[in-house]
Amino acid sequence: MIELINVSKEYKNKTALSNCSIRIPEGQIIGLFGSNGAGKTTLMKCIMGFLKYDGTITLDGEPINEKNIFRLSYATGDHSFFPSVTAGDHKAFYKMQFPRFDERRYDALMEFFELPSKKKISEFSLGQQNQFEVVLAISQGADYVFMDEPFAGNDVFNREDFYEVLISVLNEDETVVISTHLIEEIADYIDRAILIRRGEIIDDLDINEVEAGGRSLIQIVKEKYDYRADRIRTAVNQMK
Amino acid sequence: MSKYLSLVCLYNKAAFRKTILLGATIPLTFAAIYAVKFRLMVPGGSFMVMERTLGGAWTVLAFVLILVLSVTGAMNSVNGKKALKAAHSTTGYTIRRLYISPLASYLTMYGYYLLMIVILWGAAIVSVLGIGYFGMSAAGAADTDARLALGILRTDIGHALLPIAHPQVLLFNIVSVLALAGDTARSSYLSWHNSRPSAGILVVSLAMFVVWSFKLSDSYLLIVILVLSMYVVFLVGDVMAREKHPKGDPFLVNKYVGMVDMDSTEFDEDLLMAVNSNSGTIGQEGGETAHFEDIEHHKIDLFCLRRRYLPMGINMERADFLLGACIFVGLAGKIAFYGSFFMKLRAINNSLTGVTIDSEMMMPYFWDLQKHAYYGYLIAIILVFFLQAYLNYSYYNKETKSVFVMKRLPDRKEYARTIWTSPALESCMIVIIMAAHTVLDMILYVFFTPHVALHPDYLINLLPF
Repeated sequence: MIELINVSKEYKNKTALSNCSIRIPEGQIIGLFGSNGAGKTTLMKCIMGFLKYDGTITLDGEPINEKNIFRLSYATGDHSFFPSVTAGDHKAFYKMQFPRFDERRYDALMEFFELPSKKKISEFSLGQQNQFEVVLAISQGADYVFMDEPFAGNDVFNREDFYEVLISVLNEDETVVISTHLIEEIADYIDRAILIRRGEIIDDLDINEVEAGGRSLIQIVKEKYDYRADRIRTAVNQMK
Repeated sequence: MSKYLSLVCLYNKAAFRKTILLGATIPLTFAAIYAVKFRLMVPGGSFMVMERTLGGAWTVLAFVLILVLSVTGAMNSVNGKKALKAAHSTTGYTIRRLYISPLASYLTMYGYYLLMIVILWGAAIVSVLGIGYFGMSAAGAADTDARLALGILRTDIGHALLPIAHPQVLLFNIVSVLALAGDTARSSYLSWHNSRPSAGILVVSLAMFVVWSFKLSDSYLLIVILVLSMYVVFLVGDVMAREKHPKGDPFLVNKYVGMVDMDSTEFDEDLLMAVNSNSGTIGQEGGETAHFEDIEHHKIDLFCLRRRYLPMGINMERADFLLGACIFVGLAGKIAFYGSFFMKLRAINNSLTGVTIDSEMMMPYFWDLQKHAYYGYLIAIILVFFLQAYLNYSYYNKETKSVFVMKRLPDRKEYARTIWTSPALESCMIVIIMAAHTVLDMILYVFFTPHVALHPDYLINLLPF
């Protein structure tokens, strides 16, 4: 289990995270939702150790370091691959660097998404690059997979395919944390939703409970973010 | 006219502060050099002290560096990457929107850089004049006039800035400024087309440094002027040729063009096995699996090691160019040795053949001739180490975001290793070349100098220790 206790992060004069405390157990698919600049990426980067922070982050009670970092993987919309290198070379690199790299899963996913292995990644389309980024992350053999806006640029069919594959391919003990704005689209596939606003965790929802309550996730999110539908009408009227 | 001004203003917007800062650095640097040396040398300031403070190669070097930094600072702003703030935009698109042809843009930037260099040059003269006034006053001179203050122009830096009595150096200055501006403008032009910027600016600045510091004789100076003039013609001609015969659509060129396909090199099994003692086996698609036993059979190969420790997928062509340019800087620095050696040799031969009457003509000791000859290598070693390390860092963090993989590798040292090892290896290569070059110089010294002109104990003094 990953545990965050009072994690805070400040950039110069701006508070990006403020006393965030959450637990991420094994075997869940978690949606991390929030508006732009809410702190989703910062939270993930703190967990991965890319940023310095105040507070405590542990993995099964141990700090995250070189001994257990292989249990975490990360896919980002910014793309963490090496663009001028082929997919095949990425596979060799991951095999060499990550002791639990799942070659079978990698090959199966590459075949499913029809990604060429002898082509440079820079020659892939944006959608293919996103797919490849995610394929690497979930083939790494990590227990916890963090995905930060991984589908920006993919079409809706592509995304549907991906969700289905993700659900089928994951082992029971694997955890995926997805940060995305596509709340309605992903709502059917996640077990839990963490809402973050202005650097604070404002809610942690169990999807089963949400469904039992007879409301949709998007409705709750809109409420939590004080979304005012009449705002648009007022603005349009003013413009007229 | 306004659209040409827009071109300059638009691209210069991102880094104008840096340019201004660098411009202000000229008087500050000269003042700092003056203050430090004045303090070291004085008791009781004098005109001579003031004259000596702004003499010497290091003041000239400071001026050349600041000049080049200023111009490249402006170049950074016009290459469009920062100005447009969009990852996949190119400056080419914006030039299109301004309806200026790339060739006209090149000439506009050429004019802009010329103007900027002239302004910086003026700032340098004014600051030296200011130091002259200050120095005179500090030395107790009353009613210091401009002529007296301008006496400081007799120093090395003054000679470089305003060589009134030396028309050849004046001509060299004009040609070198034209080359500097032309090269910088060409770098911008290449950046607009997503090609690799030129590094010819290093060659021009090296020529400036050599001419101003070593006060070459007129015949050498004319050769340098001729070469630089040809370079200026090449710069403009190259841009015009590219415009006439473009290679495909210059605005559609891939961002990663020029990067070497690492398919066959990065995961060369033999190579990895030799250097990666941590990896037991490594397989590649379609490749055989190699084993540990092979490790001890491999020799150490600096070039292979370097390739292994460069970041995966980095632009090898650029890395090779940097290494080559630094080796060239090292080799060029040896001009000091060859200059004094061959001049001395000619004098000796003239003496031996009776052209001149000097029976005591002797070849100086080997290491006396090598004075200043290692500056080039020293600069090359420092330059290659820090520039390659920066390129490696920049590749992970700016060109790509592969830092997100590198920083979460279980082998945490791999990230730092791939940033620092290749620069260290490249520095070692230059040290080895420097040693080999020294041996060649020794052979040249021993075998080309007439035996009678060698000191009896020249062999003892051949080694530096």
